[in-house]
Amino acid sequence: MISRPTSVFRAVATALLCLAAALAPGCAPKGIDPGQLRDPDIPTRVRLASVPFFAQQKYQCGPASLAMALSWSGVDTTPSALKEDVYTPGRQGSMQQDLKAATRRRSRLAYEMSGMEELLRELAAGHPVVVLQNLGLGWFPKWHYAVAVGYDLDREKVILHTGRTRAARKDLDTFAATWRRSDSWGLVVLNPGKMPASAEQKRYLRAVLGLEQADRPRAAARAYDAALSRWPDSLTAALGRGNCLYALGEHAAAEAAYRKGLERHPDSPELHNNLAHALLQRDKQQEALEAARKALELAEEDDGRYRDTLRTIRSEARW
Amino acid sequence: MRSLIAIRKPVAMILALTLFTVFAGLGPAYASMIGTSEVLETESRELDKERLLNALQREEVQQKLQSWGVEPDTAEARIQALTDRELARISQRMDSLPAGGDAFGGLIGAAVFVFLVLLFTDIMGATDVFPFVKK
Repeated sequence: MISRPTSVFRAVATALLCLAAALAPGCAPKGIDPGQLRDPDIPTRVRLASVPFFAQQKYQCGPASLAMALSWSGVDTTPSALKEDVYTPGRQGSMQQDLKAATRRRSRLAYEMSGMEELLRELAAGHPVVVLQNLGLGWFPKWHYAVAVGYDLDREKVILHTGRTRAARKDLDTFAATWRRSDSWGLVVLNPGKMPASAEQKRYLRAVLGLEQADRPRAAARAYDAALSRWPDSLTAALGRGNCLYALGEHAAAEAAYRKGLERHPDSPELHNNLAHALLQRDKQQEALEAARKALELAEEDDGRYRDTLRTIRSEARW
Repeated sequence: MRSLIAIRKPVAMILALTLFTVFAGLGPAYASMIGTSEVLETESRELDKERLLNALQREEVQQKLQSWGVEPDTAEARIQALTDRELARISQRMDSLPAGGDAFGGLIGAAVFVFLVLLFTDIMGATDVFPFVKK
């Protein structure tokens, strides 16, 4: 019976291993092939030195991570200043949508990306990325935000500002496994007008729409401008740019924006309709009337608003 | 009681309409202007219905945040900065959304972990903690 403690220890150890194996299928790092990630367009090693570091307080990885990204983008802020907007006491944590909302309310573009390739591309372009990891297991989650500030493909490392550690070097494999549990979600925080390196048209426009929704038309207009330089044929960007200028009360600029959009989309009832409103604001009733008629004529279906536009203009006409 | 149920629907509609007017204020100044989201999200063309639904969703999400200790003003501001599409995606699963917090800690979680380990070792016969585990 002298050997008892050892056998108990062995049994416990075995049991733990079995348990881990049984409860965590597919959790073992799948093995990232760094060779696959190599891309002639990006350097094999990147380290962003310009991203400030804030150590997190208990449960405060959300505010801390966002503070780093926002500060990098030129917003003067701290984790404690963001806590109210980002942290949810009842969850002892911060939710993704609150990070996005807080970013927009500070007039910054919140662009969501996912996957290792996009992460490396953003870092190579000099953009830090807020990442959401599950450091635990699917059934025993430990959700955690960190800021990716670099990588080293030769040594297979990702560099993170995480928790209380500045520029921690983490194994690429382990990082990929913990990150995958959030569908490899990342947030790029940019000064509006700058393009994410992994910019995809619809995703980018959705991010700009968020700025518009957060009532930041100046910032959104700049971001739509950037969209039009990249995708000149985007109807959304053309309309959005006009709508932002209109919301700012800059009706002459709004008129010009809608007209510019109409050069590429002459048959867009949306552009004609909103142009009519801009013209009305500029006391150009006759032109407004023509634009509103054109909108109604082009509209395949009308939920009543095209007619409303026409009615509004007629009732305000002074003749 | 029956009369309560009878008025529930109209009350909900009025509430929704009020919210709709409040939030519609965020869009272009005239109701008959076309919002940017409408050309981007062409799938959400059934407008009024969608927006009414969304007003209710906003209310629900806001209440959820408040129940988690977020100040009412802050909760409202957080939600206002989300698009209809984003809201529709989270409103039904607020409880299961991940909330990034801490890398360590979590007493309840640790207790669950210890329980499972002991349960397992009990079954293996290495420990004898739980009387309900029969050997």
